[in-house]
Amino acid sequence: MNSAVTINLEILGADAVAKATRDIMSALTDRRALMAQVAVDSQQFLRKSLISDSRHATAMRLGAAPSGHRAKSAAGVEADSDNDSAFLRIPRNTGLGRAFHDMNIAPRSGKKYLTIPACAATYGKSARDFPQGVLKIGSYQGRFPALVYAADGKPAFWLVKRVRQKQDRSLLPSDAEFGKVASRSATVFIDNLIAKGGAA
Amino acid sequence: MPVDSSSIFDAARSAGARKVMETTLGTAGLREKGAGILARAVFCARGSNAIFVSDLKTIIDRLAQGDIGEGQARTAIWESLKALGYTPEGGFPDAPPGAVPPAVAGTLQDLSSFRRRDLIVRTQLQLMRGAGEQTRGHTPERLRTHPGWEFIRIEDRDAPRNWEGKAPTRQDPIARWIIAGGEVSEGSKMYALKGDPIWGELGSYDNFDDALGVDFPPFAFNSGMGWSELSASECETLGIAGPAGETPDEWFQSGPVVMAGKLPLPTPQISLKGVDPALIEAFKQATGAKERAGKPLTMDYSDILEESIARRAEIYQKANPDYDPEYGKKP
Repeated sequence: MNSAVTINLEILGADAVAKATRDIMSALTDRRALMAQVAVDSQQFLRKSLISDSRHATAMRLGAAPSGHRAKSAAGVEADSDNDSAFLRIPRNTGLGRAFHDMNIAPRSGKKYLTIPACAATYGKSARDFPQGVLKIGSYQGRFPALVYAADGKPAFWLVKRVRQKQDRSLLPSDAEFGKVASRSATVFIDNLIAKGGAA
Repeated sequence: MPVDSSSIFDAARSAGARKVMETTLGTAGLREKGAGILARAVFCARGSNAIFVSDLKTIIDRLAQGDIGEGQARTAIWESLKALGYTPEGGFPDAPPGAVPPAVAGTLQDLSSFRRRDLIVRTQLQLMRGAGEQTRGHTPERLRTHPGWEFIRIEDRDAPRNWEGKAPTRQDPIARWIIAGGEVSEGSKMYALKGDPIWGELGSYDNFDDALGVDFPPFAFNSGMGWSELSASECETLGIAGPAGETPDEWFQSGPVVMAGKLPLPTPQISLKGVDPALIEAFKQATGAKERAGKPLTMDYSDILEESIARRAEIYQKANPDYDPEYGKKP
């Protein structure tokens, strides 16, 4: 099972470029530091982007306080690198994989239904977060299966057999934006080398 | 988008290295255990049942790997407690009588309450993320490119702890950053070099009642705090120095030690001395990225690099007739 989504930013083709280019490449044979710089800058860019994204559609629809899901997702973004690549790892449970593909969500661990919050009080929670006896299985208008409040029969969670979410590339910055960050990062790296190494 | 099947969330790696530890102690009692033991353990105050603590470790591992979300983790904890016969009043059925005082249902002392399960899940996840962030940030190349940490708020809190001195309370009157040995800079920013003892002091039981005994975020229960890496140039601009005024290079050469062990030496500085300035400029300009055909989200710089350098070499050659782009100076 894959555990993370990886954005792969690579500098390739050192062997294919002209000798003149290799002069520079030879000074940058060990590119781990360059890639580390790109990785951290990209991570900080993505984290800021997620935190500043003010979309809280479900919370707004239910009249609930936002759960801070985006900020939590930002905290989970990891930056890593090696000699050839800079990586961003985004945990699957952030749901950000939907930026790249449709998501089909089905119940697991032998369960038959997914529980979808139906009101502000259940937003960001699961049915097990409520004490025993507070909720019971019922239906809304006799048609839609739901976990309802035992006290008044109002729906707390919709019970659905599966959920399909369409791909939404806007959940993450565009490829071009990541490219710009990587470009700026590499430029700053070279500038720093020049400043420290006195090459220019 | 390539999905890296071999990559394992560092937080999960950190979790994998930890052992389970059942205990009848409260958090204060746990502090009397060695910090080294706790740093390597998944522990849970009042978690007196070995099977429960083992389940908890499994659940947290799955959470850290991204297999389940926080809600599913809370549910899994609830199911484990139910299967083991836990009640807030009586604790676990097999616990020695009187080992765990009865808890009021719904309170933080009740392992099955939402508040407690939520605290367990969030604290354990944040600890593993913090440990992972520290591990990645302490590689030789990251010490070179990003020698410092800035201590920042990553989640809002209604009643924040008095980290930088802005939220004094009777229990927390002095800025924790100051108590830990730091200086709050202009704009209430808090930063220090990686491996600075201030990070250990910030998470020390001896300094703060709610500390977690670690030298990485979240430092304290439910703190909402985290780290952001500071680049070498930012450290220089901000004048960040080691505990005795050392430069970052001097500090790392001195062999600082963190709870996880001694920091490695940063990667050596690469020199561009002697490299043609025009070529360096070309390289700087050439690092624009574009998507590789057939491999979405893999950025390839080499085509742009080659085109740009060829163009600049041509310009340079016109200005310097003795220069040959293939061999440098003409023989």
